[in-house]
Amino acid sequence: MADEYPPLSTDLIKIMEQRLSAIEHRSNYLQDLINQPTATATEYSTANKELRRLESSLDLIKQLRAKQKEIDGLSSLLNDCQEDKDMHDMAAGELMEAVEEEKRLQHLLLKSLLPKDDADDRDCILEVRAGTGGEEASLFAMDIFKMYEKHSQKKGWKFDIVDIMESDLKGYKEASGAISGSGVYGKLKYESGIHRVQRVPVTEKSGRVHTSAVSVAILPQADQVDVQLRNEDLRIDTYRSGGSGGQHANTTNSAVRITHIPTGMTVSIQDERSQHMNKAKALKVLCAKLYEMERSRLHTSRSKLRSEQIGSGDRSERIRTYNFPQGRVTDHRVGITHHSIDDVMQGESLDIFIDALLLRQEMDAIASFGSM
Amino acid sequence: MGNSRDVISSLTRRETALPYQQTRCLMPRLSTKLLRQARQVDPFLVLLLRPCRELTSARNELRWLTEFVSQRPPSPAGKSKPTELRKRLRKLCEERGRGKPLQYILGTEHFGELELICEPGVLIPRRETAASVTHLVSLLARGAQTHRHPEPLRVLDLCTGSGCIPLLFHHLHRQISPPRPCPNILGIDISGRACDLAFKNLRRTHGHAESRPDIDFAIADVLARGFLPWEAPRVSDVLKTRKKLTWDIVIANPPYISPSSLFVNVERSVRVFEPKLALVPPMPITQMRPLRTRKPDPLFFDFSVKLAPRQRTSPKHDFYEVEDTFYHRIIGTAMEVHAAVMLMEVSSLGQALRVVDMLWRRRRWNRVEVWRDEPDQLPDEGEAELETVNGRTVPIRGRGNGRSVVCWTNEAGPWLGQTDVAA
Repeated sequence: MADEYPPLSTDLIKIMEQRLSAIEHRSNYLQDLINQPTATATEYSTANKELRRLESSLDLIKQLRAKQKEIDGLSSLLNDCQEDKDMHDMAAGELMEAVEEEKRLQHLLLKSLLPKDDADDRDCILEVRAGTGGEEASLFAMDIFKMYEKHSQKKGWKFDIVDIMESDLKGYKEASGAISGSGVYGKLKYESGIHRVQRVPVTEKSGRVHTSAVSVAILPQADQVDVQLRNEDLRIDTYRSGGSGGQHANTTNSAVRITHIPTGMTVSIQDERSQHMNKAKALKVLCAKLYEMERSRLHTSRSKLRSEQIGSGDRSERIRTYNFPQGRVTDHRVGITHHSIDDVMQGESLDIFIDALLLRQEMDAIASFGSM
Repeated sequence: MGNSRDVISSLTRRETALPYQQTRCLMPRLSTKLLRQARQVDPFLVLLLRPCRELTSARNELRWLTEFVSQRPPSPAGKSKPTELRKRLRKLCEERGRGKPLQYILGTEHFGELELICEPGVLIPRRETAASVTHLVSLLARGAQTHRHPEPLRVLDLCTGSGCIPLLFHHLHRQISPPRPCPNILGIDISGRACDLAFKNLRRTHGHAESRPDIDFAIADVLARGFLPWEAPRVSDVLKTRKKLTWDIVIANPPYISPSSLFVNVERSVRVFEPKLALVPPMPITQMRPLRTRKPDPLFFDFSVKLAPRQRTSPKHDFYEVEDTFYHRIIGTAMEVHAAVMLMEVSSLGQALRVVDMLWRRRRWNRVEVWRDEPDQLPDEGEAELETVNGRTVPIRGRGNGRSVVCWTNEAGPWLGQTDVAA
């Protein structure tokens, strides 16, 4: 029990106390505003919205305050009844529990106060691209893509293939999928980066171990409203057979390419037989890309410190190595090595890394809590 | 995805209209390198390369065929062994390699947001048709913001084939906001097979009879040849018996390929496997002669009224080109049913302009436009936005080949969101 909630440092508690009283003040002020008959409709609704956002923290604060009162009462009782041993023991026991409970509440509060990524609750788009290493990289890209597919199935998330570009040996040059479920982006966002593989490729005759790499990108899903997509900004190209078209021809090529003219970003999808569906998928990916672009722009300008510490914004770094001959997977950011590579590739043990990364991110956020 | 090069190169490849002699050579020989490459991936790809001509398309088709085979085991109870699947896949790939349209093999084609059943003997719905219908309904949706069009809207679709136009029109019309009463749509086709398929598609898209919208299909001959008992009845008779003599919108995707160009610029797969009935109009002699001797039909436009003389472009026939046969009758029918909007698919910009000329001679249509393949897109470089026919200019909208002719009366302008009244 005590291991689970290590006591917070006094500095941290002091800062937190300041925050808590600020929140209490703010909510009192908002409560007053709502109760005043002179408040306009917009004032009322914005105040209401803010209150609702503070609600969960407020609830915790109330509980914490109650616990603190209880602790005060218990410690005074402890002082008063030094001579009565039974009473003393009981009060001491109660106090222990109350202090533990206080710590738990403080942790929860801290978590609720830490900056939250608005996109964490969103669904995400997974993109896997073969990097250096030719065919072998494509084959590994396929393995990685399937790993996430299996992991999503285990987690009960919905996994839809958006588009796959096969290589000559039926590996994946590029592949993308849409994953939806609760808090998917928040869970998977640290998977972005370069994944390195070391193994003897099937294409290799002399049995040497090769190193190749694939890049993984996790983008939060967005809709057209999030990125304010306008029809005028899009150029949509579809395949047109040469010649007269119409009744003269009958093509099955349903590829769609959408170009976002202001940014020059293009997305091509050719996976589905239906041109309409290809277009919808391409729009989805385009929105996610534009949203991510906007986010990373805001992100870097808002908090350099944080992005440096987490280091997830930079896709060029190598984050994980899959070493087949040694049967291990190592995550370089948290320094964790898991020795059952098959489990990982089946999407089973991915949580070991994901949980560690989430914990590390939380620690980093706590470390920078005072400086915000 | 992203920047996949092959897709983009195929997307940007746009042959401009080639003269007839050259169109035959449109298909270059498949290079041995390409064939070898395909063989390395999967021997079946080699078969599919013949109709597809490029690796990305062939790969997609192979994937779709594989999915099709694995989803439908031969006997529901029997296990489908990998070798068994492979055998069936080979059969399908061979069929496809001989040119059988993929849609006939898989049994469906996507048309806008719908997936419709396809059967040999009925034309496979084309994307260009979906694009024009979608654009027409989007104009109606725009008009619906400010003006009320007649409710329910009455839509007559001539040469309906698989029923694709009525079904897509209804599907899109339902999405208009604020919601409008469902349109009343009748699809006409001369082929009983087409009508059967159209009903099948209606059942597929709308399930039970109770919830079925006001869509119906009937057998009738648009060319009004129905003077022999074994032939299909005339459209006028069908409408008379149904007591539906007025319609707001007439849509048609008639056969528009001339017998001579059938062997020049029609894909082999289309020519061999799709019904000629849906592609090439019959020779006009058979329909003109008896009509002249008949008593004029008071309800319908009569051929005995001499068509306006026009320049002879083809030495074989007087008055008009064979491939234009249907447009005279369709325009005539539209006039007789007092249609206010008309949308007709055509084969090319040249034919579009000939149809525009026919429309102008009737003096009923206040606004005439030509739409290209993708009417909602901006024109590419070098694509004219105006053309002149007999000294009058006609606007050309969108991108691609000339694909349809649209016209409407002043009354219908506001339905389509046109506030200015044309002279």
